[in-house]
Amino acid sequence: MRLFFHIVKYKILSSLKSTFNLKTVPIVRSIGSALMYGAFAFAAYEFAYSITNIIVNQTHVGLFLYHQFLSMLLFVFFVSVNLGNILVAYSTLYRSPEVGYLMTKPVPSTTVFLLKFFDNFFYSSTTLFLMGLSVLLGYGVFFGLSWKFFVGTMIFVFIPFMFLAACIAVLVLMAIMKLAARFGFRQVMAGIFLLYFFSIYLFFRAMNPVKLVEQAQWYFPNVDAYLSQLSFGILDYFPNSIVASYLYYSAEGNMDIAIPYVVALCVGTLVVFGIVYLVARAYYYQSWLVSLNIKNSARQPYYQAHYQWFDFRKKSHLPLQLESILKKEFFLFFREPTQWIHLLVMVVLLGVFILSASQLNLHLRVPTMQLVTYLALFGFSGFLVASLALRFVFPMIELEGKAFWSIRSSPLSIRKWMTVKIVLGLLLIIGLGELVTVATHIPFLKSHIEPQPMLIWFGVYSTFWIAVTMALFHFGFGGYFASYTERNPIRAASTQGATITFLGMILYLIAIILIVLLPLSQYFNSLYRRAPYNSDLFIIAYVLVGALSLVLSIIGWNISMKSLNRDFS
Amino acid sequence: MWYTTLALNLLQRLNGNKGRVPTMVELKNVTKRFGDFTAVNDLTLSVKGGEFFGFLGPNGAGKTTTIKMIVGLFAPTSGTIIVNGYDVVKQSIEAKSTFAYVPDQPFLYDKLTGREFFYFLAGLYRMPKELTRERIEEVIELFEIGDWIDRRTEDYSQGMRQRVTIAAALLHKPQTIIIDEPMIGLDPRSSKIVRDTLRKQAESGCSIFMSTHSLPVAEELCDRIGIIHNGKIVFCGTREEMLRSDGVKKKSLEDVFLQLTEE
Repeated sequence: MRLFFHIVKYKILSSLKSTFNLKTVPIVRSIGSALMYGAFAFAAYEFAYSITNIIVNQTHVGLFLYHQFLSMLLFVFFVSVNLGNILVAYSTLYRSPEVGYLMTKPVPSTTVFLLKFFDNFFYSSTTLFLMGLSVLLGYGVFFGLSWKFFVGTMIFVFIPFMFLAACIAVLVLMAIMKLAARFGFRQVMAGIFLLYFFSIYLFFRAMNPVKLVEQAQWYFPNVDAYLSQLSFGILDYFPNSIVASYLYYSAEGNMDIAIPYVVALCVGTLVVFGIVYLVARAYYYQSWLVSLNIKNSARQPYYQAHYQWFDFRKKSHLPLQLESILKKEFFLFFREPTQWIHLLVMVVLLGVFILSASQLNLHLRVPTMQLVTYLALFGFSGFLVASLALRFVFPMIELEGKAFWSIRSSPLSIRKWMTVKIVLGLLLIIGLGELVTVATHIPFLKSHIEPQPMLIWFGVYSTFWIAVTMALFHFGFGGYFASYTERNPIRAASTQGATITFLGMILYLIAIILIVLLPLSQYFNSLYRRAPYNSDLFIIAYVLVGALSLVLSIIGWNISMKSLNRDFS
Repeated sequence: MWYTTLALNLLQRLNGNKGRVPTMVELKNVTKRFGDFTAVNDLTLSVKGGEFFGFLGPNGAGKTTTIKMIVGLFAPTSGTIIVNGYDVVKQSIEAKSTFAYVPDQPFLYDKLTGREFFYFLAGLYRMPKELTRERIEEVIELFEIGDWIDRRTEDYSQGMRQRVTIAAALLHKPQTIIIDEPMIGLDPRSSKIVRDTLRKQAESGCSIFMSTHSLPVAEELCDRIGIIHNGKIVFCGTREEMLRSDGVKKKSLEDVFLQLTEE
């Protein structure tokens, strides 16, 4: 362990030197980041407080049902952290040059593993901690809980919860490497993702939120009394259920029952971490060697007598420069496993979400409930678009890397190059964003709440603008923060600059939600009363959404242009 | 077609300067500052058509900065840079169509094969496919890279990357080649191929602007040599002029170089 702390000491020193840089530009940048983080934390706090207030006080679903919803959200969060960690851990544990370097030194492989495991966990979780703390504050302040609750929950509940997700991720990853040696990397990855897909599907079948809401209606107003007797079998032992139960009993002020859940979570996490340590001690070095074999086995000559898809040798009807850029982008994306695997994961999660969302039962004619449901779905679509932009658009310029000299010194207009890249990002984001928007509007269409399908047009219009803004803004700031040195797309999308950009875009999303709140509220109320709605409010919302998005898009475009005209070294 | 346009441009320039060899690279009072630091200070020099120009200087003297300004990767703080008759700042696309750049570090797109990289670059220069195919076969043979060309460039050694980068620069038959430290990482055979190729290019009328640390290479290849020190040109002339730079004949270029770049 001495060696572990020796390396950690120098890693911290190096990190401190880059964090506390006393030059003007880094200081201004740090102040900007702090302001952005602060604004985001405040918005997350307000959002958590308001949504809890609306659900508990206005929809009267009862505390237990509210915490069941929370449990489902925690499950989604847990799976997202878990999947995210599998992908990032693959890069940090198996592809990092630092690992290769340390393996040539007299450092035990278990120490290398621990270093990279913690590095990975803290690096990829900082923003989530901030988000968690802000949401927790909003939740806790609503229920009037003491400061001890916040501190205790962060340290003994939230961190172990995320740490557990990371531990399971690493166990799955090492299993993947073990199986990949025998069955092939792609086959194992496909199998694992199918397994995740079915697990999520089965979870939501077992929990069935629609059934829960219906039961809540039957037993109204004794909802809590009935539902607290419900058991979901093995699902009650899932970490999300344990955390939701802890929060439920804390909100009720029943800490004697709440604390054993904390103990169970911490003990469970420690046990899983112990297993991770033992497996890593026995297998990490071997699995690292397997990863090298996988890498090398993929390196066969690519020459094919017959033309393949997007083959550079093939003639095309496209202009030559455009053809070159498109083919290059195609190969760079699909030959980089972290790119296509991450896209696949996102598409799988989207599939699950679309399936669940299109099954929503909205026959409950309570305007507040319909508004909250609509805003939750609208917010999710926006969040999805932001995540896609962060992950796939933000790193676009950075990933050109040092080889960008070949484009910068060629007779290709940088504006043309930029337009092609942005259009590629836009196609992905608008495509997936609009797909989710249409799918999430199906319940509203199916329930015949509206006399005419107005909401779907509003959704499609808003998603288009949100997607354009997110793409241009992420692209622009991706260029502004680019150093052309990071070759790992996941790490490029989780730098400080990426986080600041993402948080800025979440604030934009909140602004959009605030703009649409009034017309939507008025709309659902008028539908309930079967009265005509005020279309002027919608027109104003259309104009405001378009204008705000346009301004931010122009800012994003200009930042891209400026950053791409900077010196390239 | 791209090459006819280039040829016409070249002819127009030659006709406009009857009897004179045209200037292909011209730097006029070029300065580059990074904050308070002046990397290149009021630099003026020119390279004629078919001339092999060696650009020498100690580490950090401003060689790479100058080259990056010529190829448009850095914007000069002041001054003008004309390459093949085009201002690289105001007519960057036209200028870039006429020259080729070989960087000091041969970074390539790791996930592409060498052949794909060639096609990619040829597309950026708007070269037709048939011509590209022919040129690729020529450079593959010339640089002896046939065994590696269909492997991803991430598998290449430094020398192989360097060879592929130099080969890629020749695809569109540039009028001027700007090349930064071409011999780094090359084995003796590769080094010989590169030296011979560059010399042939110069003999066929292409101007070469080459930065190098290697005095023997400069001595062997270059028609004229420029020495930059602390961002300023301290010498510009032929090998013979260099040996007699202060009126006293020196034994070797190394002696002159060390004297000129002494702190």
